[in-house]
Amino acid sequence: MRWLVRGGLAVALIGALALGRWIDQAWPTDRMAVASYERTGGVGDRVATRWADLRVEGVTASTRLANTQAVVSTSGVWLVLDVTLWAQKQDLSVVEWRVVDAEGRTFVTDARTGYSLGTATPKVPWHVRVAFELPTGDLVGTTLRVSPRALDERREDVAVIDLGVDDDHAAELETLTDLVPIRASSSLEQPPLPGEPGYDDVFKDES
Amino acid sequence: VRAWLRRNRWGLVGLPVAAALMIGANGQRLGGFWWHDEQHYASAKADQGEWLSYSDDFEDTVGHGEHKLRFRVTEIEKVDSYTDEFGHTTTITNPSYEAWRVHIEAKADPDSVLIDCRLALTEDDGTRYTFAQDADNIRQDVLYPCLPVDRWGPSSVDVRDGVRQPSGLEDGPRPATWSIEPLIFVATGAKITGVRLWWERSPHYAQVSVRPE
Repeated sequence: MRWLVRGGLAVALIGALALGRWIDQAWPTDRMAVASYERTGGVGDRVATRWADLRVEGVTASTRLANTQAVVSTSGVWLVLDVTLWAQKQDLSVVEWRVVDAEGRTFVTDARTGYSLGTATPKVPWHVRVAFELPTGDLVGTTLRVSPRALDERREDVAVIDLGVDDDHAAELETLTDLVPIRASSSLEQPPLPGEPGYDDVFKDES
Repeated sequence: VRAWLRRNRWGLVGLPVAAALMIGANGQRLGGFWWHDEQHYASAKADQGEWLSYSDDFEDTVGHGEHKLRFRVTEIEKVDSYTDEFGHTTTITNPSYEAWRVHIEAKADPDSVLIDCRLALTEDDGTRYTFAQDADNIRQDVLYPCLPVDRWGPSSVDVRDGVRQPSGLEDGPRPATWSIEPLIFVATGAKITGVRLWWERSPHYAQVSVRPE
């Protein structure tokens, strides 16, 4: 009887250890404990996160951007996104925008392009134009990732938006060279894009 | 079995204690990422027109200190323009925003550190519109929404010989009582029911219930 109890205990102990090991493999803490909560969508979808709702309104491209200071050129492609953002619960002044290509390479934006978020007021539609410098031939299958902290997505809601760029669309985007105006984000609409009504007036005041 | 239980009774009692200690010792992230990262409770509450006292501890290079003041919200009113200290008036034309002027009276010991206070208007759904000096092409002459415009009192940053120096646009100590009327921009149609005062990284705040006209 005594040996039976001991044997049973030993089996139970080994079973518990095996279970623990299995749990650790199925949900590895080094990855799972820091994973972000991805909120996914496509162009035109309003993607809701804890800190803001976002909607990519349009995708365009150019080789030249025009902010209020300068014209910024690239030998690659400026991928330009128009996004409407609604801050949730409180003001939002830090947002990290990244474009991830089909191979998983990450492209960030910077103030040189003319992008600036300012401080988005809750519930007020905030019009953001953000540009990323990508090499030519890299636009197919790109995804936008947006998080509310600079380079830190741990345990945070992240908007992941498929930009829906296929081969034909990418080929078309890479032929575009007209100046794309970029202004700091605000509750006011961004200036018209090339081909849109009013585009020619954008640069009139500045010339 | 009974003998085993008796032999190991202190060990068994200790198990849940050890488990609790183990979890607690790993709980520092709760403090860093959650408790001090968000606002959790109102440590002082009042209705419009009533005085309330608020205080919040902090540490700086001098040592321990307290953000401590008494204040009341006498009125909040919707406005459609802002006139700066030079008499220049800007009309608010952006249809996305409404601007509210918050009338505050305050008293505090001139030694109390009040710089960096934050002020917000709140809705019942938890939305918070925080005061900003610049908004919608308007730059207010108010920098700190709970302080006199020109004399802010002691600063945690400007410390000489272990003493926090008075700071502000003008020299001299902060008066013992003052009033201030900062403008706060909210989304059009927001149903404002509260005024909130706090300092960053504090889990608690002062909340005043207001009845806009």
